[in-house]
Amino acid sequence: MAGEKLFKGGEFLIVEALPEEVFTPEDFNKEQQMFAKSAEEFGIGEIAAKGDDLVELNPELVRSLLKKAGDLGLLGADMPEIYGGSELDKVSASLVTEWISQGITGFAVAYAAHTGIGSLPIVLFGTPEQKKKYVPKLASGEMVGAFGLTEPGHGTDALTSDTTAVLSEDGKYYILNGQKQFITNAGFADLFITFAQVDGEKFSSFIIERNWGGISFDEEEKKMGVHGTSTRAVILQDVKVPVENVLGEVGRGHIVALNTLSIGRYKISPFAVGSAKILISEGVKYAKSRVQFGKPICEFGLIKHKIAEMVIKTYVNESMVYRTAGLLDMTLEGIDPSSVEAGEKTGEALRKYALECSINKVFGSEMLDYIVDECVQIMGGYGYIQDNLIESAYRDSRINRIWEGTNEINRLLIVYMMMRAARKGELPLVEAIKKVTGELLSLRPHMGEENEVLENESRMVSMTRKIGLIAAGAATQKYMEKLADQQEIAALIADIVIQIFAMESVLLRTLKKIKKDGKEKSKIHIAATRVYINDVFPKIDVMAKQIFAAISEGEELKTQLMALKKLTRYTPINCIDLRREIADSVIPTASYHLTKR
Amino acid sequence: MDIIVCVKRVPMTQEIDIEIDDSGKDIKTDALAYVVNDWDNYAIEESVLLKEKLGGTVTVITVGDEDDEDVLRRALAMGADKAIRIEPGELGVDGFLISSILAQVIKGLEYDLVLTGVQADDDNFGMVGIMLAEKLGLAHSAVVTGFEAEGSEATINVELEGGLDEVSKIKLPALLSIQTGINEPRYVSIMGIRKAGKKELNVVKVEDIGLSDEELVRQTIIEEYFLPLETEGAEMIEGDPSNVAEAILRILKEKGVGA
Amino acid sequence: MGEILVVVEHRQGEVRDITFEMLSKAGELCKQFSHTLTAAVLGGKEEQFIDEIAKRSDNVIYYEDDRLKNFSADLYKEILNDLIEESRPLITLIGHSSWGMDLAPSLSIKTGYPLATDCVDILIEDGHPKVIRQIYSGKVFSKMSFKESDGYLITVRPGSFQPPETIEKKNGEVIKKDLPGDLPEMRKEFIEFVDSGAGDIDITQADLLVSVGRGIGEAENVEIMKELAGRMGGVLACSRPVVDKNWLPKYHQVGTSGKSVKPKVYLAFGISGAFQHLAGITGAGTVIAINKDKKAPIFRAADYGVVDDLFKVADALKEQLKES
Repeated sequence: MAGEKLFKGGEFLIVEALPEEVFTPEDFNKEQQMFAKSAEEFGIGEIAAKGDDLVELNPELVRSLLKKAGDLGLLGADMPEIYGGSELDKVSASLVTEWISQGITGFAVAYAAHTGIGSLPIVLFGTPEQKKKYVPKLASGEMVGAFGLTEPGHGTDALTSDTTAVLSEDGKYYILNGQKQFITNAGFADLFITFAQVDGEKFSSFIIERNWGGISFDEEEKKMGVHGTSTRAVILQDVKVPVENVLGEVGRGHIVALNTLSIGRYKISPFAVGSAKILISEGVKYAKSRVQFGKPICEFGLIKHKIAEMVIKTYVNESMVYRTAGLLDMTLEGIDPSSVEAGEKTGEALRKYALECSINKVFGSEMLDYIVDECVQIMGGYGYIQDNLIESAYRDSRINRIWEGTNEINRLLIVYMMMRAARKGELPLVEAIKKVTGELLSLRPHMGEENEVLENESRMVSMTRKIGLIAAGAATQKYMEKLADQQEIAALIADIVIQIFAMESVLLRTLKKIKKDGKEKSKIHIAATRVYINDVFPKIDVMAKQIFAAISEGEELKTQLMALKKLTRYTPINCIDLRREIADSVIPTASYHLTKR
Repeated sequence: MDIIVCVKRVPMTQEIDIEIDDSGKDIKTDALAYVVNDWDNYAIEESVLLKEKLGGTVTVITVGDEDDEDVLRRALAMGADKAIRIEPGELGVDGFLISSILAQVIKGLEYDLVLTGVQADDDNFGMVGIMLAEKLGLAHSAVVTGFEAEGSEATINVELEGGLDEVSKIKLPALLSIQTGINEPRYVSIMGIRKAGKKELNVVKVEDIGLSDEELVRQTIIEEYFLPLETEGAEMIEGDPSNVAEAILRILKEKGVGA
Repeated sequence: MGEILVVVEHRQGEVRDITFEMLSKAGELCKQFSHTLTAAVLGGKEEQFIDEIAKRSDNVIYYEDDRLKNFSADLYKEILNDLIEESRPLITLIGHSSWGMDLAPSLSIKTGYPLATDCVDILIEDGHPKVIRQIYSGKVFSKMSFKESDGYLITVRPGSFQPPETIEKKNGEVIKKDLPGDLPEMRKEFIEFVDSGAGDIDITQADLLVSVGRGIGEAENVEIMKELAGRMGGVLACSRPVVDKNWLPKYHQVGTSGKSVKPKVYLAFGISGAFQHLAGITGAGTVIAINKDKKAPIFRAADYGVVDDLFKVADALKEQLKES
C-alpha cells in the first residue's frame, strides 16, 4: 500500500492523482490473491457445478451452499472476527464477491442480499447484544438475512414508509403493520432488516425474525430473470418486535438505510466484473467453435469488435472497483473492528465514498448489460434460445439497473453528493471551478506526438475533468441548490463525472502496470486504455454541448462553446486495429487474461 | 508423523488453444492461468489428513520462482506447517535435475514420509518422485491409492491396470507417489489462508545448496515442441442438438446397437 | 552394433501387452540399425511364457527365482543394474505402467543412464536415441534427446506400438542367469492383488456404452445419464475423474486403471480423451465423442465428433427416443 493516497470522496473531480497513489489489481498481495482463489475454487466446485439446479428457485440448495460458504469463511467477509466473521479488507471482500458466484445468479443474488444488505445493518449499527446474537449465525450461514425496505408505495422514495410501528402499552414491544415488496431471499430468510414509521413520522429500523407471529408472505414473483432467487412480498400483521430489536435509534432509520445501500450498490460492480469475465469466456468459446463461410466467426471484424469492447469495459470497470476498494480500506484503517463504535465509525467512513459507490453501481450494471447483450448477439439465434447460459444471463442482468437504487436515482445522487460536499466545505469544488475557468484563456491543449506512453490519453482525462468542472459550475450557478430538480442536466453532469472516474482509473492503473511490468507486458492494457479513452472523449463533447445549450444562450453560450472546442480538440487514432489486437490476444485462451491469476 | 510433500505449479490447459512460442521449445504462457498440480493437491490433502490423525508436521517444497510460492501458500492454507522454495534462477531444469535439487535439500531434513504426485499436468513425466526416492535411499512405490501407517511400516494400495490393485507392506521412511482419487481434497478456507500468512516459508537459492556445476545439469534436452496435425481425427457432426441426436441414433442403428 | 534391452512385464504368469508392443518396436529399430534385441525376464520358477518371448527376440535373459514372481522395485533394479553394467545396452525399454513408473526412475538413478518416460515414439538419429512424448494433456508433442551417455532408458506408453498380426519369428536363445549375490532386502513386500474393478455390472460385455466424464459436472447428472443409457439400450460407463469424485463406483471406469472395453459403439459425453482413457477404448468399434472443447484430444481418437454442450445433446436424444 506504499505511496497510496487517502483521497477524499469526490476528490478525483478536482485533483489529478498519480499512478502510485491509487490501488490497482496489480497491487493485490499474496493473501488477497489467495482469498480470490479460495472463492473461485469454491465457486467452480460447488456453485457452477450445480448451475443447472440453481436456474429455478431451490431454497434448500441455496441454504446449504450458503452454509458451505460459511464453513470456509466466505460468508463473513464484511463481519468482525469477534462475532465469527472473516473481517476481510474491502479489496479482499470485493475479490470474494467477484469470484464466488461464477455467473450463477441463483446463488449470487442470495449471497449478495445475505452478506450485504441482510447482515451489514446489524454489523454497522447493531448493539453489542444484537451483534452477539445474530452476527455469528449470519457468518456461518445458520441464519440467512434479508433486507425489507421497498414497499408497494415506496420504491425510489424509500425513506418514508407506510408501515407503522406502535409502542405497546407495557413499553416492551413495537407492533408493526404493513407490507414490504420485492424482498430478496424472503422465501427462506430467517431474519429481516425492516423499516417502519414510529409515531407516524420517525422512520426507524428493526430486526425481525421469520418465526415470529404475524409475518406472512405472498407468492413468489414471476420475474423476467434471476429465476433462481426468491422474491416475495412480506406482510406484517401485528408483529410484536421486542424493543431490543430496534436497530440504531428510533427516528434514525434513514442512517441505516442509506449506509447499507451504499455498500450494496458498490458491490454490484465487483459482481459485474466477475460475471463479465465468465460471459466473455462463453462468448469467445462460441465464436471459436461456430464456423460460417468456412471460418470460425471469431475471425470476422465485427465479432472481434464485440470481443474487444467487452474486454475493454471489463478492464475499465475492474480498475474502478479496486481503486474504490483501496480507498475504502485506507479510510477504515484506523478503526478497531472489535470496538463498540466500530460499526458506526465504519458507516461514517463508507458514507464519505457514497459518490464513488454510486458511480460503481451505474457503471457496473450498464457494463454487464452491454456484455450480456453482445454475447447474445455473438451467439445469434442460439443466443435467443432458452436453456442457455447466455440467454438467461441476458434476462438476469437487467435488474441491476433497477435495484439498489435505479441508475437514474444514482446519477442524481452523484450530483447531489457532489454539491453537498461542496456546500459543506468537504470538497473545494467552487475554487476548482474558478481555477479552471480562469485558466481557460491561456490554455493551449496540444495533442500530437507522444513523448511518453499514454501522454495524449492523460491530456484527454485532464480535459474531461476541466469540462466537467466548467459544466457543473455553469449549471450550479444557474440553478443553485435546485440543480437536482433539473434532472436531465444533472444526469448529463453525472455521466461526465462517471467518465472522469472511469477514464482516470483505467489510465492510472495502466500507467502503474507499465512501471511495474514494462511496456511489452502491458501491450493489451495500453491498447484497451487508448481505445476506451479515445472512444469516450468525443462523447464528453456531446454531453457538454447539451448542457451548455440547455442552460445558456447568446454570447454566454458562444463563449462556452468556444472554450469547449479548445478543450475537446483531439486527433483520432485507429481504434479498429487496437481492438483487433485486443480480441486476438483473448481468443486463444478464450479468457480475460489482463489481470494475473 | 513428519511428512514432506513435493509440489508443482502448472498452467491450466483444458479448453484452451495452446500455442508454441517463438523458440519452438516452449508454449506461450502470457494468457495462461495457473493452479496447483492436481496430483500434488491429493498428496497435500493426504499429508494433512495423516497429520490430523497422527500428529507431526507437514513441510511442502517446490523448485520454482516467486510465482510458484502460490502453491506453497495454498498448501499452508490447507494445513501444511512449513514451506521451502528453491529458487532455480536461470537454470534450465528437467525431472532428473529437479530430483537432484530436491534430494540435496531434503536429505538435511527429518521425516518419516515423502509424498509426491504421480505426475505433473504440464510435462506428464512421472519421474521426479521415484528418482528422488532413489537419491534419498528410500523405500518407494508409485501410483499409491491407499495408505495406512502401522508404526515403522505402512500398508499401501497401488493402482495397477485393468481395475487391479496391489496391496503391499512398505518400510518407513518411504517415498510414495500419490494417485488422484485417494481422498477428497478440501477447499482452502479464509481461516486457513490467514493462518498460512504466519507460517514459515523459506527461500533457498539453488547455487547455495551445495551441488557443483557438473551436478546441476539436465539429462534430457528438448529439441522441439509441435502441435498435432488438425486433419487427423473424427468426422464432425454439425448442426443443432436435434440434428446431432438424429445422426447419433442413425449411426447406432447402422451398427446394430441400441434399443 | 548395439543392443536394445526390453524388460518383460508380466503378471500372474502372463505377459502383458505392453511387452509385445515394446518387442515389436525394438525389433523394428534393431532391424534398421543392426542392433541385437535382448529381452530380460525377471520372473518366478518355470514361467510358461519364455517361448513367446524367445520368438520375438534375439536373446532372452531369464533370471529365475520365486522372489521375482511379483514385481519388486528393489530386486528388479539391482538385477537390471548388474545386467546393464555388464552389457551396456544402448536403449533399455520398460513399459510405462504402474510398475514401470516405480522401476524406471529408480533404475535411471542407479545406473546413471538418462530416462525419458511415457514415450509414444522412438527414433535413432546419428546413433542417438530420441523420443516423442505428449505433454499438456495431449495437446502438444515434444521431441527430446539426451545428454551423452553409454546408454539410455525409455519407458513406453502402452498402445503406442501395435505389433503386427503375424510376427516375423525370431529364434531367441534363452540364457538363464544367476541373481547377483548381494541382493538387497525388499523394503516393499507384496501381500495380495485385489480386484477393485469388480461390481454389479460388467461394462466389458456391453454392445453400447454411454460413457460420462468430468464434463458431467455433478453426481445428480450421472443419474440422468444413467437413465439415458438405459433408454438407449446401453450401459453406463465413465472416465477416471468421475470415480475420483465418487460419482460412480470403479467398475464403471474405462481406461488403463479401469477396464478395456470393446463395444460396438462407445458414446463419450464430456470426456476429454486423456490417453489413459483412450487406452481403454482401442478395441471399440465406433467412437462418438461429444465435448464442448473442440481441441479435446478425444476428437483425434473418435470416429465421429460433436462440439456442443453434452446436456443439450443428451436432452435431444431423450426427446427423440421418447417419440420413437
